Amino acid sequence: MSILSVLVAVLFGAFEMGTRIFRDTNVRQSTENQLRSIKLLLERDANHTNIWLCNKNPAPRSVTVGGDTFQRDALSMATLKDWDAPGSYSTDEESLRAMFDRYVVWYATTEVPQGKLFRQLVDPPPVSGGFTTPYAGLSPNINNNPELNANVFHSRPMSSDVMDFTTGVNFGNGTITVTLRLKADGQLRPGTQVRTEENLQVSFMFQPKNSWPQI
Amino acid sequence: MAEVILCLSLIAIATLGLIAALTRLMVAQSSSSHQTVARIIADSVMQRAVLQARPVKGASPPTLDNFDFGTVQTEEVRVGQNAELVTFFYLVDVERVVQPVAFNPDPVNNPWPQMGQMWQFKVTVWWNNENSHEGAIERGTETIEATTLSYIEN
Repeated sequence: MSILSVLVAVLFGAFEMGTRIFRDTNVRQSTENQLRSIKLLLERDANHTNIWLCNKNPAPRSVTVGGDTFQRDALSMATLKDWDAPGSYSTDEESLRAMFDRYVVWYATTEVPQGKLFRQLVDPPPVSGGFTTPYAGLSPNINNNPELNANVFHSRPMSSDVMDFTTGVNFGNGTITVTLRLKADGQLRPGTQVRTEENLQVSFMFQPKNSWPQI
Repeated sequence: MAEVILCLSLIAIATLGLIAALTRLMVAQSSSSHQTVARIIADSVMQRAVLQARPVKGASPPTLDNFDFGTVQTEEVRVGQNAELVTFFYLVDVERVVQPVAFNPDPVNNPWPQMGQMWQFKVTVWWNNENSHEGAIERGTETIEATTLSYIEN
C-alpha cells in the first residue's frame, strides 16, 4: 500500500510537471511566433517603402520599468494601397517611381511594464501625384488607444509584450534600424514566487528598395 | 502477490520514462529561444554585411572591405527566463563567386548590365561557448549558419 502511495505521488508529480512544461512552452512559442510575424511584416513594409518618406516620433517616448529606461518609438513608412495597379506608378520613364498614397505606422504604446505594438494603415487626404513628404500627422496619432488615431484604415495588434521598440531612420546610408525586446509573462511556478517568463531581444536593419531619388 | 509487484514495477518504469521525456523536452525548449534569436542575429548581420561591403579597388584577388570579415564579433542580448544577458558570437566570411559564362553569353555584342561582383556571404552565430562553436551535448545545436549570394557594386 505504501509503495502504491509513493507511485501515485510520483505520478501526480509527473502530471504537475507536464502541465507546467506545457504552459511554459505555450508562453515561449507564442512569443517566438509574435517575433517572427513582426519581423516578416516589418521587413516587407520596410523593403517596399522609400527612405525619404520615412520618419519616426520627433520627441522621445521613454518609459521606465524597474529602474531601466526603454523606448516605445513610432515609425512611419509610405506605401501603396494597391501595388498591382498600373495607376500607382509615375509615367516618368526614368524613375517609374511609386506614387505613394498610404502610410504604414508601427508604434509601441507607453503602458508599463509591457506595452502593445500596433501596425496601422493610415490614409490621410490624398495628394495629387502621391505623397512627397513623410507622414506629418505621426505625433498626434500614436495614442495608447489605437481607436483614437485619425484616418486609420486598418489596425492590427502585433504584440502585447513589448518592453522596447527603438527605431532609427538613417538617411546617410538609407537604412532603417529597429531594436525590439519582448517579455511575456507566464504563470507562477507552484510552490515558488517565480513567474515563468520569456525574453527575446533582437535588432534588425532594413534597406528600403523603393528609394527615389537614389542615395 | 507477484502480479501486484509486476504491475507496480511496470507503473514505476512508465513513470520514470515519462519524467525523463519531460525533462528532455524542458531542456530542448530552453535552447529554442536562443536559436530563434540567433537566426534573427544571423539575418541581421547578413543584411548589414551586404549593405556595407565594398570591393577594394584594384585588389588582386578581389577582396571586400568596410566590414569586419573573418573576425569574431559579439552581440549581447537578453534572452529567456530572467532576461539573462547572453553573448552571441558571430563570424562573417565572404567568398568571390565567378559567374558562369552562361550568365552572359555574348559579352561583346550584347553585354548585360554591369551588376557588380557576385559574392557568397556566410554568417555563423554561436553562443554559450566562447572558444569554439560546436553543438553542446543535451542542449541541441548551439550554432546557426546562414548563407546568401549577393551582387556588390563595383
